[in-house]
Amino acid sequence: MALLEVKNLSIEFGGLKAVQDVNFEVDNDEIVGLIGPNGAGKTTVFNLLTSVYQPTGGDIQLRGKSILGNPSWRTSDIGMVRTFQNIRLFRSLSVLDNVRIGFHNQGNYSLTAALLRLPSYWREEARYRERAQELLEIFQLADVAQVQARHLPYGQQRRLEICRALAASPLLLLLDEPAAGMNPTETHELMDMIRFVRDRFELAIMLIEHDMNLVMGICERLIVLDHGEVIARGLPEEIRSNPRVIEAYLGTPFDDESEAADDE
Amino acid sequence: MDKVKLRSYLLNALFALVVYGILHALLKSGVINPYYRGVILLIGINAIVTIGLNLATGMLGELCLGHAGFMAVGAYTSALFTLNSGLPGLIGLIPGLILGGLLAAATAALVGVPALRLRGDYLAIITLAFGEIISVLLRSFAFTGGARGLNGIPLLTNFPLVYWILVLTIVAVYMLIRSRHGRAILAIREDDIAAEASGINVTRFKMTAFVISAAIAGIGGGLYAHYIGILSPNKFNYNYSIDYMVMVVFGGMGSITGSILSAGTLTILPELLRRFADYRMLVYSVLLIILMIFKPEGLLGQKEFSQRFAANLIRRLTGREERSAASYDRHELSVARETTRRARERGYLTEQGPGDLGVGGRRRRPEENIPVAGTAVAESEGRTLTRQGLDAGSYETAERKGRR
Repeated sequence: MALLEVKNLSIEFGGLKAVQDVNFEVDNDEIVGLIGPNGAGKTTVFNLLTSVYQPTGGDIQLRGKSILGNPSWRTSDIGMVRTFQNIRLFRSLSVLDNVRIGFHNQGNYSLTAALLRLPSYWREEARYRERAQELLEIFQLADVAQVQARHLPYGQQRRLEICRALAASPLLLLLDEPAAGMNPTETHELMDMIRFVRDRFELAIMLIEHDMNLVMGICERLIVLDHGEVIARGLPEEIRSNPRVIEAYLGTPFDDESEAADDE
Repeated sequence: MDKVKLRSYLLNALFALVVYGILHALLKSGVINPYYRGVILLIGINAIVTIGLNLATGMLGELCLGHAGFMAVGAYTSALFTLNSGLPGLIGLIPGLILGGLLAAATAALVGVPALRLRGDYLAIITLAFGEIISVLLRSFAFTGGARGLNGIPLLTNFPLVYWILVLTIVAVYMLIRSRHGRAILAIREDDIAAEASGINVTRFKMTAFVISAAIAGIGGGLYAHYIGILSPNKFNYNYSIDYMVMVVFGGMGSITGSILSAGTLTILPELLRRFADYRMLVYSVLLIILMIFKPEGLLGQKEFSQRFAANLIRRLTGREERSAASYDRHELSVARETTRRARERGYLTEQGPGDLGVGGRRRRPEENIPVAGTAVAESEGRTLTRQGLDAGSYETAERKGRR
């Protein structure tokens, strides 16, 4: 059974079919890329997966259980965590606190235990702290643990966001344009990091990305969306030469010429 | 339990006791005259309500313009309780205060259910309306004394009561904020979408913070009722809510100690300006404007006047060099050192690590703080990368870089 199964997923916004009959699967330990031109509905698919929107048709199943009707905040409980296209950190909190908030879905102690500082509070807080330090160490953020997140440079902010997502111990990590705003060297580093994260934390990764070097370099499988529909899927090499994908990205050359001819 | 934390808790408890001892002795011996005694009580009550409001506004980030309404609920409830229960002295007052707090919390839940499910400033509008509704209701009910209000409320509010309730409020809010529940509340203030993605039930935690905030206001209202002795519906109007909002902003949104400081300042200030009679409010407003121009984040911003802060201050005043260790507390530092050591062992840190953290006598500038990007990754890949990595050198802010 696949980790994530998406069946005939559709959503309409007032007559606009943003996503139409999208089908795909994600297996354990896979890195899958979701690509497509601007406005193709990629982020909408992410929003559907994380229950920010409820679909108007179709089903999403994680480990065989439908997630439809779940409130958005439950998404991380059931094993999916996302990052955002425009980095969303808790900017005036410390790096350490950002990661500690990531553990929220594993929290057990009650409000009473917190107010009275009962042993369960100390036990859990010590565990969060230790695990947060471990994560920060892996992502080389340990020496900025006390710095406010907004003071970090861009690359570290990206890493912190992934670090926070991993704190929630997801089965599937959803990355929305992780390479946005990065130069080629940084993108290269990011590719290494994504692979490292997959191997180290044994999870599946689905990512939206425009940077074709990154997509072709690390994705084991690609799904191409255009106008809310899947127009192609397969291995990166296949996608690269798929005429429908080329058309979606570049348009058909003949149209332009005939238009040009008309103009004359 | 954490030994370092325990020690700092004990130190704070000791501090609270010493302050109480000094103030109590001064009041008993008559050094502080009854007029100043009244002012001190009012500062205490205002500080309680301000800390409560700060929880909703500074920490949760929801604008609440009706805290006078919650105070009114608490004030009338506890006043009616002491007037009608026949229980003498504090035995009647304390259950009255608790009842007032609970009723204020219940009203807040009623107000919060529709407002807090939405994003945006709906709560501000709804609480604004709520404050007005409460004062209209108080005027129209017979049992609240109508427009005349309530008279002859026993003056039971005394210094020990106000002081220890204030301490309890501080402790409760502090314990809340330094827990996973409190971090959830702060996370909602910072970015509710990211908070939701991190598994935080945004509506539930907004509700928690708002209801606790109202309960504190209710208790404060009860203390006020038994301090002033008469209650009238006109007292708890819109302006009164704004007064508390001003105290929160003045002290610093999200700072408990800032709230105490501003409650003190803004209670004393109008008293000091009494001699200027008509110009009093003018001076007060001008002072507020000046503060907001030069220190828009409030007296303390989001900082707290903590032991660490005090230690740093003393060190700076006595001219001793500030060590970088001082910016960390000791526990933090030992964790950082341990982390560094382990990172070295595992080969994560190859070139420049955070080795001088707290060891040298000088605070490191951020530019020196260049982590060796991608080495952990490189390790796992079995190859090495140069230092021109994710962060080499550039301390540009994300916004600037993102815009390009």
